[in-house]
Amino acid sequence: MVTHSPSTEAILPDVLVRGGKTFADVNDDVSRPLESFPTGKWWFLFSICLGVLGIWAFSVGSFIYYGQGVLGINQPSGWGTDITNFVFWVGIGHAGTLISAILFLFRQKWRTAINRSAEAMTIFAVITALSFPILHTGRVWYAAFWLLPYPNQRNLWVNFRSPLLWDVFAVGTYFTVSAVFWYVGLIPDLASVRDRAKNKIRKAIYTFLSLGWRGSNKNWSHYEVAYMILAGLSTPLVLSVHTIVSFDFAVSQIPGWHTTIFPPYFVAGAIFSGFAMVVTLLVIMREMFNLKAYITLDHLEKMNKIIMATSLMVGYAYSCEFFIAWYSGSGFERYVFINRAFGPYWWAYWIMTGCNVFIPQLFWSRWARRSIPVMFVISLFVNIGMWFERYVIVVTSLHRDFLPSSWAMYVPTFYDWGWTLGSFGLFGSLFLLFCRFLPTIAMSEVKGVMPKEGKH
Amino acid sequence: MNDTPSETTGFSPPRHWIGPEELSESYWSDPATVEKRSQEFHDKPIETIAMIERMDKLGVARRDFLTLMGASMAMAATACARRPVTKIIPYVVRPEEVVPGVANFYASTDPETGYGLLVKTREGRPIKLEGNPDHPINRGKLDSRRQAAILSLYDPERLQEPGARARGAALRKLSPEEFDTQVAGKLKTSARVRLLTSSLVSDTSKRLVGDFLKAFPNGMHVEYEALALEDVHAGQAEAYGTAVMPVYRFDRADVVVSFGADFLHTWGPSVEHAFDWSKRRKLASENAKHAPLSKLFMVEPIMSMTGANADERFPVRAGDEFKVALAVANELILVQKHTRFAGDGAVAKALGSYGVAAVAESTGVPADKIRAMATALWEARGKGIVVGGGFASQTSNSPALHAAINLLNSALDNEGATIDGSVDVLPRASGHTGLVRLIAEMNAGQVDTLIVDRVNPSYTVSKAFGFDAALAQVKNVIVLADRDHETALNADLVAPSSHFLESWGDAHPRKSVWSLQQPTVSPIFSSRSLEEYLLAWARTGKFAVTGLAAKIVGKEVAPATLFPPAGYPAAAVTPEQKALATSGSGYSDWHGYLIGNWRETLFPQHGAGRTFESFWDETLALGVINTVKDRTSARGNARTFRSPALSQVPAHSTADPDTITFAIYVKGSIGDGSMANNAWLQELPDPVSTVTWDNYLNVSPRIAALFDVKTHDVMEVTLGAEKFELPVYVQPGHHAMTVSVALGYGRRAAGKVGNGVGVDVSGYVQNQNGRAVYSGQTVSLRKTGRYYRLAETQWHNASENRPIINDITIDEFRKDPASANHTDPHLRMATVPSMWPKHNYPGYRWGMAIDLQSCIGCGACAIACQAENNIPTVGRNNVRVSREMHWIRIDRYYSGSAENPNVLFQPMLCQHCENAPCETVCPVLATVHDDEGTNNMAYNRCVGTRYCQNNCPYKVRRFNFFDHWKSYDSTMNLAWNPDVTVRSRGIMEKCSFCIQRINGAKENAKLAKRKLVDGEFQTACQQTCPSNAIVFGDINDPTTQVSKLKLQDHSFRVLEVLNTRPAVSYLTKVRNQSKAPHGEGAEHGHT
Repeated sequence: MVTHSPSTEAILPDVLVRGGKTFADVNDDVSRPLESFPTGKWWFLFSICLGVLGIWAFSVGSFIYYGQGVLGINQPSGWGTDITNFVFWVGIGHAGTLISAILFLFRQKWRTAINRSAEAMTIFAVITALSFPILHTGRVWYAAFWLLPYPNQRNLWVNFRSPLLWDVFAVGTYFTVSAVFWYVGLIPDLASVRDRAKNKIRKAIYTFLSLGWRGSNKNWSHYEVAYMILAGLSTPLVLSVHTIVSFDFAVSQIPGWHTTIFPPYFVAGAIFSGFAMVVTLLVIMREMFNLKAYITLDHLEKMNKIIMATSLMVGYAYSCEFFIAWYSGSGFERYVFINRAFGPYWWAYWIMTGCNVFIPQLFWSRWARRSIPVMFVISLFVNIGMWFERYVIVVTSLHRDFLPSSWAMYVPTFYDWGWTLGSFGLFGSLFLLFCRFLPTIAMSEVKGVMPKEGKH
Repeated sequence: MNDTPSETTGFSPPRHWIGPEELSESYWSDPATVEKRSQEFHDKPIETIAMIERMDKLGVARRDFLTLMGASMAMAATACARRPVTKIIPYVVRPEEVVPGVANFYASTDPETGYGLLVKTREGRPIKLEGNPDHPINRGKLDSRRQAAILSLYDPERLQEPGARARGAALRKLSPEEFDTQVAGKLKTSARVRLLTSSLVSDTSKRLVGDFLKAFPNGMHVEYEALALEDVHAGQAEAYGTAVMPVYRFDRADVVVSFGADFLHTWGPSVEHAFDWSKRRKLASENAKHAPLSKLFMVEPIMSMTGANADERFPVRAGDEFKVALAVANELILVQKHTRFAGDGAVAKALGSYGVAAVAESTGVPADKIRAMATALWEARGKGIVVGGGFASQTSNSPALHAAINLLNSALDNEGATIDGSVDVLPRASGHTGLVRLIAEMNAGQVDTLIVDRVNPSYTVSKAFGFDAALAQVKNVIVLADRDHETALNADLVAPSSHFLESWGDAHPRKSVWSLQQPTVSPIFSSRSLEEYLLAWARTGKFAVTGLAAKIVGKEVAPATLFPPAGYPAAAVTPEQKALATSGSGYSDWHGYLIGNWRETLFPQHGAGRTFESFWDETLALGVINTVKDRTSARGNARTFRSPALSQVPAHSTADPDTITFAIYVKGSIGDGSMANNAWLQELPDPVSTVTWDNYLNVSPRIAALFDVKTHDVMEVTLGAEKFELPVYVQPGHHAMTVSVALGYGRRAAGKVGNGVGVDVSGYVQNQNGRAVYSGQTVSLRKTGRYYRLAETQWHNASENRPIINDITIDEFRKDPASANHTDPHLRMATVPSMWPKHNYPGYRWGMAIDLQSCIGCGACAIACQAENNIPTVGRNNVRVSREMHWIRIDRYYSGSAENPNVLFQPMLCQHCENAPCETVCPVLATVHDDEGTNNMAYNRCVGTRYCQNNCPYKVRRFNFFDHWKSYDSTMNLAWNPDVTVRSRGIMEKCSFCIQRINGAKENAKLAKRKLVDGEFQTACQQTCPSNAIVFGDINDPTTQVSKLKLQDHSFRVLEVLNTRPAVSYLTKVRNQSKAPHGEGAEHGHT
């Protein structure tokens, strides 16, 4: 950006790394945050995240100690912010694997600059997501292991008919595969970091982590095959996880939940929110670690195009739901959707629609797609909108279901908000630790998409 | 024993021995002994194991041994419990002693109402009250207050020890002996002794009180009942010369017209009324389509529960009821010239100004409706009932109202046919009359000692009567109370009085019914009953009591049998003692007095052919002497109406339509507030408003619009010089310009549950020449702008036309009983297709049918369920956020206009669906189906995902958001039912169809090698339901009652379109009203 004139950019749209970087520059630039004392910016962000994590710990500790009653849930609304946050974070976790696996299979080279951090985001988002369904149970101390089918002398078994159990497997598998995929991708870079290490302990740790990578031909060919296989394994998971998460709702019979559009709608929404979160994070990261040459405006623009496309998909899903509610002829369904848009939670519905359907339409403008402040704000709006999408689905369906006698309002309490906000602290802390200790850009892959004339 | 050595062998027996065999020489020379003595340890572990293994072979397994040991320990432990085994005769199970784990039922009586009880006890503690089916008044049924009484027994805030105080100061503890001595000392110096109690339903108590008071030169017993129906008594006295509360035979009435009397809930013996009234409402016979249906008209200012059940309901201003009654009489007597009063001048004079048109104009009740009432009553003459009164209608016009009611009943020949005035319904007989005299005496300084028992006048009596000021003039005030309540705070000496489950007594609730009250537990605290106190004081003070009391007091007794408790000797009773006791003079205490009185009075009449001992034992076991076996044959004699009663009727006048009238009413749960510390009752939703925990200002939608207030907005009410503030509840159907508030709230010294709940409005009861006027005052209102969130359990009041509740008119029903099921072919599919095979239920299959036609919405089932299934209360704040725990709730829906809606009640509980949505979504299989059709909870397995609750279309699953069971404080823990698990926090619970009762009954049947008989056991809700709306049983067997109900054409299941296939079905509610605006009277039940 700094050294290239706009005209060059126009001529060379496929140049993925800007700034005339050499291969050595790549190693230097990417490894620098790992090898130097963290910057003030990092400490600033990390302390904020830790503080927010403290709020999380306080909220979670409170309801584990006193009971779920400190939260806002009640008799018709058995779920509230807990499952809202779960679905939100699982959705966030979708973009990483989509970027790294599907774009890899489609040979989209522009992914190289962002796939590492996107994958990391996936891992941490899934960790954050998993905390919610476990902690939302009434007896956390049992739920953590009674939800797993393990042989025991009491002949107790789990219920394979329950979508919650499918969640355990779907999210568990997704987490495992994503983590392995991420780690395998890291190995060549870890070896680079190892090779640059001057400190003994540092060297020992990265040696252990790089699994004896020597960069030989054999290493590379095994690596390429393994990476390809894992990409192939991950790809269906991108579709399956949110499909199964949507079954939590679709398989139940509550009006507003019981609908067949949920699997594709949830997957589209997940990609939508995931990409928005990636944009949010990349904008911060390229600023903080000076990676503007690697994470270029071209990358971000491509992401923004996907955000706009998926925004249209969720917009379609929203309108389709209304049509089907009317078309079904079921009074229960019709009521729920009218109540969503015009009932007591109308504000949540219109925040959702505004943020998810209307605001991303700004990306029709190239200027908006390439403006860092604009895309940052839009991506934040999308994150908010997608959080409210889950809130709308969970709360408006439950608070007025079949029997009007049981209708009641759901009002989140301090602990609900503490838990929700705190989860960002959990995610942020993990992500900042990742930036501090692991290469945030796939060096080996970036080198593969750089012009060959560079020296090495 | 000889301990010198044997001369021949040198053997000398040991000085100390364990078994006598050690004294013989051969024992010591036995090789086995020799070998054993050589060992260091006599019992080697290895030998013990070998022995146990041998035992296994012998048939005594290790586990059996542990079982036996456990059982022995359990029995040893229960033997420690204080239990009056010697004096109580089990009712149903009749072993001599208690078997641990098996409940014993004892027949007893509730002294407040005279209802017969069966007290279920486990291991010596009462855990549940049920109605005594042999009792002719309540016939096995109870209301919510009686169901909740068990919790009051275990209330840890009951007064525990006697004490003395400077008035208003803290209580100094006294021992029972000190207390008796102090009381005796005070009584010795008192010539003028007054005993103030509630209406005593016990002849024996009255006799003892008489015996006791004769010891004083000027002793008098005054009865005062906070919720006495004194307007009825006064009206009866005016009209017929007898101040009685007649028995109303609702089971004989085709047409009932009620002017404000909430007779199904809070007015008179409501359980009896509900039982009888619902008999005439059932449309579930073989010939349901042509079965007669009675008709209920209600004319009332507030929306009472009875009004909610009425076929035709007309809101009128509090105080205007009599106008409508007189207009009906005018139409019948003066216009249509019916009845023998047609030519009566006094009648004509009184009724003259109350023409239908004029009254319609002044009250807002349509003229054609008044005429329809008159026609209906005339056509059903001799088979109709006109009732009226109750607190909301107890205005300055009450005398006129009752004159009109009595005139109508006499004119229509209902008197003596459906109304039996020869039988006085005794409970709650005495109102303010005696109290007013007493207050005058107290003010004049004519009372030396006032003894107060069972009543709390400092709280219940309006300040208009000046009780507290008068109390200050009394030298000695002695209060016997269950807690340190408002009156006790103003006393010199206070002592705990026993709960009725702790003390002996009897009741004579009406002519020809005598029932016994037996203690089922020793007094938990150092309490005694009034009668025990009187005898103890007589003995301590050596007062010259007379009659039977003199004989009893004269007995020499060891103090141990007196303190505490007087009722129970410390040691087991010997046969000689028992013989003495049953001879009528053996006991030195109240129990002996009771036996003595029965021996003298009732045994000669009813004990023919039996010894007194067997008479007593049998009566005690049965609980009641009922000389009226067949209720239908009992008819009273018609009394003659005295026309001068009508002189109290004022000339017709019209109130200013813009004034706002105030009314006070009573809730079925809280009543007079005496049980305000009972959390079950506080948390029982009001049947109509569904509000818990507080009282509130009921206003009509019209007033809400006039003052721009909504439910929860606080309003200031100005009543004369008084002001108070209350949150508003906008009550559809409430009279447009009347506002009403419930009594019994705002207790100051009830305990931590009841203190400060709501606002006390008893102070606004007016004193009109010694007559209490509850309602009819003019008030002004002001919106304060403040907000107070009432804890209501239901805020959405319409059914949204969803297929969840059916109500049709009788015309529609006669045409097609299933017409409501055919309204929406989409949401009410006849059969829902399914791709899955149906479940197989090889043996029993449990199901329930609830008759919405019978359900009056009283909520007794909810409290019965709470007592049976250990359901905790959650408190006001948790109700506000919809976390109430009731397993059965009464959903209430309105239909029609907000000014005068129809009301529907629907008990909603776990529907035990065949295809239960909750079962499939639970990830840990904590809620599962069984092969008898019930949906069961495995509490231990539940991790609390709440997914089942979300997926339940009926929203009947209840989550423990906190450890609610901890709300059971200290002694309250004794109220738990040991057959039901107490749930911890974080888990889901719900109705189990009382599976503990199912299994208990099945065990009995299995032991007897037979199948269960229909009706052999009942669920707790079914058992107590006063209107028999709930029927439970095996639906695999087509001959059971529940199966027959399910086959009725007008049976339906809720949300059947979801293919949940519930095991609970409902019978459509049928209103005896025709949709046509005119010709109302053409339609009534006896066609």
